[in-house]
Amino acid sequence: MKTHLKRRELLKGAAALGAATASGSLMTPRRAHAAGEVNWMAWGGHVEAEGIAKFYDDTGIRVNHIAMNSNASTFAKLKLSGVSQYDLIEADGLWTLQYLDADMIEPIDLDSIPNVKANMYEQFKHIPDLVTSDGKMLMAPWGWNPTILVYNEDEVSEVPESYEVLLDPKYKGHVAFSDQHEFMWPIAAFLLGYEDPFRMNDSQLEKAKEILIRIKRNAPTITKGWNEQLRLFVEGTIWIGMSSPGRAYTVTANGGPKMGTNAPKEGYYGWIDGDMLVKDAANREDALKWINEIHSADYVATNFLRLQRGCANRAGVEKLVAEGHEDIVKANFMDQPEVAFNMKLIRAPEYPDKYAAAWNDVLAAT
Amino acid sequence: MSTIVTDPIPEETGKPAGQSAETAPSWASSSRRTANAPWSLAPALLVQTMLFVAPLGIMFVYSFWTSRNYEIVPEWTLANYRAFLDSWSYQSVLIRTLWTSAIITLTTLLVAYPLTYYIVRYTQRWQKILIGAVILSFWTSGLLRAYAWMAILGNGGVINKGLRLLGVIDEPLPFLVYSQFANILVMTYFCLPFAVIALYTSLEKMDWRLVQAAEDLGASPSRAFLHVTLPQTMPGIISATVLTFIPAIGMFFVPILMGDPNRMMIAPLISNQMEAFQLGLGAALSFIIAIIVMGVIAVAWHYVEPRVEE
Repeated sequence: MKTHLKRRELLKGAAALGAATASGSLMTPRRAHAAGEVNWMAWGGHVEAEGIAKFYDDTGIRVNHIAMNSNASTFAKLKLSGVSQYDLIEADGLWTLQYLDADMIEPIDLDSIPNVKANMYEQFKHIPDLVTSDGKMLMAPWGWNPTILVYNEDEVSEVPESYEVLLDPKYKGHVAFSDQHEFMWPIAAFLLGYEDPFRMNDSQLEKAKEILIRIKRNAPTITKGWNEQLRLFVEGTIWIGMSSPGRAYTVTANGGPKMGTNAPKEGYYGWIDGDMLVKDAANREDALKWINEIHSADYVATNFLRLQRGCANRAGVEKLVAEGHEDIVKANFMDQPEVAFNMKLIRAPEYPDKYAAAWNDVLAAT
Repeated sequence: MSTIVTDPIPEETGKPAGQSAETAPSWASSSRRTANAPWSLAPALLVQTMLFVAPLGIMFVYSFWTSRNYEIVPEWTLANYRAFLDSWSYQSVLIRTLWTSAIITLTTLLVAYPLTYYIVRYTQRWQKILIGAVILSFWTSGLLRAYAWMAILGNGGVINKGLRLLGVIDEPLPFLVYSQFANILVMTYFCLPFAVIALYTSLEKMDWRLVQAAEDLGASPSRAFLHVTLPQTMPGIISATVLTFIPAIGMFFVPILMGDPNRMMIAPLISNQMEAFQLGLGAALSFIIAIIVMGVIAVAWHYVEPRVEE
């Protein structure tokens, strides 16, 4: 027997289904904060799914990871939406001062967290500008990287010693240009001899723009993030750029050419990232337990073996060495925390709107 | 001058096409229409308001506000529009975007028309399957498809690797990726299904006996195409043009992934402004684009809306 579904009946059914679906979602409102949960806004690379699962099994605390991208866009979003739905937020270097000025975070007593007290290199517990008068820190440091010249040794015959190499016409089409402008402004400032790339006045910003436009003309594309740069280094499209020693090592490890690194004579910037505790976080104690967990030697070793960068955690580094990964430790200066304090730290620009407008001009330029 | 006829001329004279009162369905009777019209429009109006009018209105309001130190300053100002008018960089990006989108539209039509013509005319049994195959690409993430093109066109991609293995080239072909060529090629690929769908509707509805009649009267196949088929399918061509041009203007991940960094398109620029919390300027540029898009639709509507000769 054939059944003919009339159009009116079909529409009624669809409407009923839609109403049922909508009401179902309305009846289970999203809980911004539940007991036994930590809302952790962090870079995806810091997340170890097995570590989160183990933490849940051990403590019953569920860690909800919320992905973030750049410092500027994350800070902008949080200023708009507020931070009350998060417990922990990550940031680079001196960006933590922006969060402090906006009254979004509270300092952390690192010595009250057992794994941090026992495992962290002492230097990272007292980073200048990030330590308060009572000895607390604005963040629990995690990793670090200097941003220096990295180059394909097969294609770049002479060891580059200056940022000038990024402007060299013989490398046209083979220079890395990142969309992360906080790492690009220092290049221009160093080349122009300006003291602070994040405090440039209008005239200095105009000249810095011209430098970056010239570098962009030498680049095949504007890379979004390190993974894209990694791919372009491995396939041989990019020969020279700004990154870290560990990432140069990663290029070769991923089947790419042999890479060299050199700190430019003009100086270099870098970053130290870490976790900030949200002010009046709803799950403050659970958040501190999560910080304790990620600073265990096991979690650190697993994460840094994958991500390969400078590490603020001595115990994690020692575990990597014990497991036979000394080459990775050495390539990333993980056992030389003093290197992290030879670099200047990136920070938010003093006039973000002017810098944003200048960056737009760089991107729009032909 | 050809006339676009959307309804067959009824046998009885004196009645406009499509308005024969004795064949109108009962639910369209005038008394019932008057009673239900306002309420029957409510769901459509609600959806339009929520999904179109409200977002456009919010964007319009934001375009008159500015940002300062990551905070929105809700003070009315024309500064954002002035920034666009004062900046040749922004204007050149917009002009470049419109020009590139026009080229993409043309290349898409040049590919889509013959393809759809062939499917409609010569593949009776496989027609639905072939059209389904064209539309199938919608079921995959656009970003994944763009990365697939990278694997084909990239310096380490299939084409360059193959040509190097064959000894045809020593270095990768520079124009295949990070170029306007790559931008146009891949965006044509993305816009092709839209154009095929629009053209299919038009070609499928066409009365092919008119072509036969023209050929019987001595017209060559090309003449019959130019004077019969092409005018008859003009509504489809115009719809395909609109459905290609508008997405091409707003496409942002293809130019970012594959385009020339020194020939930026407007969508990545707007995206960058939003990320940098320059919401006012981003909204102003977005609204300028929206005005252009609505202008294009209005012009197309003028030509597509059926006209009946009296």
